[in-house]
Amino acid sequence: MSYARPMTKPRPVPACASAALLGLLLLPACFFARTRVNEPVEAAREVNLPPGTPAAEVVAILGAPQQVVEIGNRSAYRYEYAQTKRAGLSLIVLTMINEDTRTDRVWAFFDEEDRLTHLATSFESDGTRYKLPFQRVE
Amino acid sequence: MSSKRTARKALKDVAPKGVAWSALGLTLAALTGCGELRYTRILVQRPPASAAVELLVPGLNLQQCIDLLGAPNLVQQLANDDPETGYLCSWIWFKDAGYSVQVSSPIDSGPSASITYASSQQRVPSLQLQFDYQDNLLRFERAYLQPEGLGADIDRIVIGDDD
Repeated sequence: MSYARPMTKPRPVPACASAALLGLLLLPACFFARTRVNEPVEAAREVNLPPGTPAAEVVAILGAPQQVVEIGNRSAYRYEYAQTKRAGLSLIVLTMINEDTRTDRVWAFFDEEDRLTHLATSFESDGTRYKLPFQRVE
Repeated sequence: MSSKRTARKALKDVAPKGVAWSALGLTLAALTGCGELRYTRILVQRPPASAAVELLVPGLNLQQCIDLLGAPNLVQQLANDDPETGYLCSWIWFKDAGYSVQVSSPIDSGPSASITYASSQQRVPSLQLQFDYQDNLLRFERAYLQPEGLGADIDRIVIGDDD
């Protein structure tokens, strides 16, 4: 009488299980990072600053500018908030990184008497995306 | 049977196929400490919409240009000696992609070496609008800036005719 188990052929691992396992193995190789520079210039979205507003009032609402540019006897104040999103994939010796930076910008132009003449705003930082280098970005 | 074939057969007997793949994997894993191939894509801002740029014509005022293009990235006075001189507004964007290869020797004591090769272009495209002191658009053009010159050296920015 023999107690040995009969030899059975190992069952093949389903393809979907193999793919899932490979996917799980690749997950630790992905990384995401976000960098922000300065504070968002939210006040420029919410508050109406009509032409003629004194510079002191603009500064009281928007805060201290990052840059003041002289234009003859006039001036322009720059406010900027930048957001960078990085996504990467690292596979043994190959690393792929995508870095996307977009900014919110506000330029306040003043006349010789420090009264607002133009307010230029662009809010684009929300459009920053996490993408890998081979993915299309708009 | 040749000696080479005999050796291969002997190796096959003692080291099955899986062992060879494992050895290859271990070698690659060990290489991560001293070498890296990196592909990097960098996007900074986006160019102004072509439809908006097509509407630019000399004579537009600052407000009309802002309405078309949004806020500029740079504003620069053109000359310091004449207060009535106009100014320059620049919209800047950047897109670059390139490979870099780094090989280094992670030896603590003794000589170490590191070799890096990178391929990327360092030109920054921009759209530049020149205004007079009365805020009227004089001319505009697409130009390339050097990154180290941004905001620092306006003499390097050459304004051409809009055509």
